[in-house]
Amino acid sequence: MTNSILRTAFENVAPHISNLDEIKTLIDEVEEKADSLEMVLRELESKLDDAEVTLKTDIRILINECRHLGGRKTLK
Amino acid sequence: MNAFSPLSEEISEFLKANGIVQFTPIQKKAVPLLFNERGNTLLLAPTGSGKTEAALLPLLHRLQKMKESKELFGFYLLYITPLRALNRDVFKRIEDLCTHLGLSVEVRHGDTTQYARRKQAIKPPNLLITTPETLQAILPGKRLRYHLRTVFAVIIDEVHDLASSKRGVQLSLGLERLDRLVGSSVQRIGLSATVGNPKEVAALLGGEKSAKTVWAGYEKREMDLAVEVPIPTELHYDLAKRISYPPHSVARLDRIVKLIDNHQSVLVFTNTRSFSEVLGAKMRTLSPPFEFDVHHGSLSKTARLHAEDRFKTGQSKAIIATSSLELGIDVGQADLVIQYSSPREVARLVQRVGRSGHGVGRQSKGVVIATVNLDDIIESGVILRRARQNKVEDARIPKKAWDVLSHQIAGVLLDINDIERIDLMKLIRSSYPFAHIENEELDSLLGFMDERRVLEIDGPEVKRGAKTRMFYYNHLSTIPDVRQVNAVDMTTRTSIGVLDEDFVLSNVEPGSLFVIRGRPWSVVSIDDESGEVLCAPAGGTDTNVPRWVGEMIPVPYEVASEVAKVWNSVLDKNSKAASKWLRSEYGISNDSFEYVFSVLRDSKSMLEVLPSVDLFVVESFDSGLVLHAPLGTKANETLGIVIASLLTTRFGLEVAVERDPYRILFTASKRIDPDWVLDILREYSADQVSVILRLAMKNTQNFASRFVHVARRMDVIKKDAKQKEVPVKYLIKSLEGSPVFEEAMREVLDDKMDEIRVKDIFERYSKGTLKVHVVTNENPSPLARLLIEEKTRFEVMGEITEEDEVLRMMEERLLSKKFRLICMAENHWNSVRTLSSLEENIKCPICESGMIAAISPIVEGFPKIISKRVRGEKLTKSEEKEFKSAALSAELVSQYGKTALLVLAGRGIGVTTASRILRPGLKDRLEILRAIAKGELQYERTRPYW
Repeated sequence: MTNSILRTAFENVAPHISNLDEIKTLIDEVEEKADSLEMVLRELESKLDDAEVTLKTDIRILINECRHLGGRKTLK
Repeated sequence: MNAFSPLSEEISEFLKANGIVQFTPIQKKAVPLLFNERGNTLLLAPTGSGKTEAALLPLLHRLQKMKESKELFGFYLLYITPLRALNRDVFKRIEDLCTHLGLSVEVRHGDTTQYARRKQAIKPPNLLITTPETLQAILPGKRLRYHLRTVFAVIIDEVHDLASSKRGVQLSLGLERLDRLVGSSVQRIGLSATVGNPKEVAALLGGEKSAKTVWAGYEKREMDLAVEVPIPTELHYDLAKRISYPPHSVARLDRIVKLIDNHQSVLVFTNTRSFSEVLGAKMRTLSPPFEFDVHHGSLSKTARLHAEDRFKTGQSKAIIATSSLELGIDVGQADLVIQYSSPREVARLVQRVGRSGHGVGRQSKGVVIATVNLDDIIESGVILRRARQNKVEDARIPKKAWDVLSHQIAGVLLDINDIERIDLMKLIRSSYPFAHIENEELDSLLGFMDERRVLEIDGPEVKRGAKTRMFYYNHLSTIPDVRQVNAVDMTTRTSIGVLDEDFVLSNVEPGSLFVIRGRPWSVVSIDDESGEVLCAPAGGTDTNVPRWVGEMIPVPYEVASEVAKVWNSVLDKNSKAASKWLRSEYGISNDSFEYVFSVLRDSKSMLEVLPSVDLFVVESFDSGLVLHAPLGTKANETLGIVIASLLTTRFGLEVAVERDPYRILFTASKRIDPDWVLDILREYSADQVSVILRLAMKNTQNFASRFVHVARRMDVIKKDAKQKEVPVKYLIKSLEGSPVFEEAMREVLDDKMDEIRVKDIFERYSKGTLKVHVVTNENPSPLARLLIEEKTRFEVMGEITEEDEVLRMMEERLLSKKFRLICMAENHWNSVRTLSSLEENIKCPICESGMIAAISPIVEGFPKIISKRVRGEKLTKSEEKEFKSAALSAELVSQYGKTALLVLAGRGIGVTTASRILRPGLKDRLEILRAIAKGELQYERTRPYW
């Protein structure tokens, strides 16, 4: 379920992503680690700090889409 | 209860903290409506009545609530304005409120730095303020497109301004594309102060769903308006000489200075950029007791911002501006607006005067300073009356503009790669300007684009082509990129205005005649490098009919027809009642009544009747024929073209046409029989008129230049191709019937012509509901002379009607010239002197010899040549030449004194030419100046061959 949200989110936002390969790798990585949407989001957010600016935006877009799909109201 | 209910506590707090205690009328109506409903809405309220807040407050409230339930990421609100300057203004206005609510707001347009753009892609602001063109740029953008998916409302400011151009058409399709991207209908809110056809504008704004119209605040906004016609006094005549400006213009300038002095802050509007500069320059020579600036579109952004800031902070008291300040740029508190010369349209006056008393509860105050010209005076009065009644013109929305559509189809293909033709048609038809597009029309356009590889047609599908992206991004703006060149009066060396480059290239050559600012000029030469057109004032217009008139804002039919009604009414009343009536109904000051009355009375006595929309007058005189038809600029342009082309084909006459909003002048090498005009009106049907008009238009310069612009936008001509190198005639011929040709024709007919009105004229004449009175006079009537001479109207050179005025300005230039004077007799006096400082008789101050050589002040070695000669040494060839020339100048100076130097001061006039010009009988100052002018003209004409 969680993974499918992450995959669906990725499919939705793929046309807007600049660093496709990095994001794909990131998704594989996150999928392995996380088993709930909350964890997915936490994992993704943890990658934000060290990411280069364009990758940061890609991750933000992915996070946003996951939230949208998960119908989550607040994160923090 | 909260005065700002139903808005949030935070918003209310903010408003109160900023001294706002209650809603304005438009806010009272709009806030609850937008709070409760999500439908498209058009808000109409006078300038400065808080429309921006009326639209934004409920939307910000909604956004604030959204923020409470989720983290915001993306654009949520778009605020679109037609001008970058307006973007900045809106930003300043709402920045604090947004910060207070914890919402982000940023501007994005052509001036936005790459850094700021990147930042927006990474962290999109919740509210984005932008222009329609930038929206087009971001719609297919990879990142920004994602951010746009969260948009729930778009506000379009000054919607009337966009509506009447292709920018509005483009935006309407852009909004449809946005809806498609978002996946639901984005709420559209339009804001406008002046619009004559709100229903149509609402349809443009809302598309298929249209938009609800909300009016408010007009009843409370009264305007204090007046038309003044300053008449020069003795004082003005004296001043005119001092500052080299015609007395009538000086009288107006003086009045403007006084008005500014008596008010706190004043906006002075002119109809052209160059005139705002002239007025500014002349005002500076008077050293008025206040600071002021000039503001127009050709000035740099920094200069404009500087002027706006100085005005806003009270450092300057006045701004002389063009339409650059017309739209809602908030320049603070102007308490008076001055309009120089008729504003020509009601909307323009309302918009401009609306800049004063900006803010709720303040009365707008405006003064139109009219020139002493019947048309200018009455037209100003009529516009004033209509402005009081808020009868503004309709925004003319271009329908089926193929260049815009081709661009937007490319945009759709960038958005989604491919689309079924049927879906594409559905999307296009949902935009109001294309609601009635036919299948064949779309097929023709798609075929044209396919040929140019802008897209690919694959069965029922339309797909992105190899050139789609480049085509789209190369043509984001629908604003034509017209380069302009300077036209310079060679007599005074001053700029007389700017001409469109395409007009110059195809129409102007040495010897051409044209009219600019109401005065005929002949072209002397064109500078190849700078493109500068050097002109000389042309002679009387009744012999040389100008072939072209500089484009002016068209006067609409409604104004022109009412002007004619006023003429008739003035003569129907006794003079006292008429004067009172003009003042009370039309705000026209009494000073001009005598002039107005005499022009009308004399015209009636010569024409037997005064023209009206139901009674035209054909006035025939020696050098031409005037058809008096008060139908407005566009209808008269159309009627003129149709009648002239029929006179040519039927009677073999080469006819020149000149028109203004009230009459049309026809001239030819032989007499034009008035009956021919009547025959034409009688014998042709309305449908035939349409065909003739199109045939005639095809060969006009106007069409050719439109064609080039459309062809550029549709990628037929490369954007950067030099116009000189484009085979326009060939292209027009080979593309006849194509969407490019059709669009250029539609554009020129829509923008410049009034086909419907002219067809109606022919129908009405055949039915007998339109009468035409024929009269033959020896000389043209005063009404006809308004067009033939057209000298007193329109500013600047317009009123330097007297030849001596022009010559006097030339004399000033000559008198400022410096010469090196050398005593040829003894070679002991060598001095550089300014011509104006010399006595009539020029003598050596040491030996009193009259043999004084006049040479260029930069030549210093000449005394050495004299010494050599005195010593009997042989001179080189060039020294011999120099000596002879100096000796001849000395002879001329000894014989003609200062006059010889005056002639030698003329540009390009050497001693030989001067010796031809100077003759013993030449005493009259004007005659001398005329001769010098002729000599200069000769030089300019032959210069390229030297």
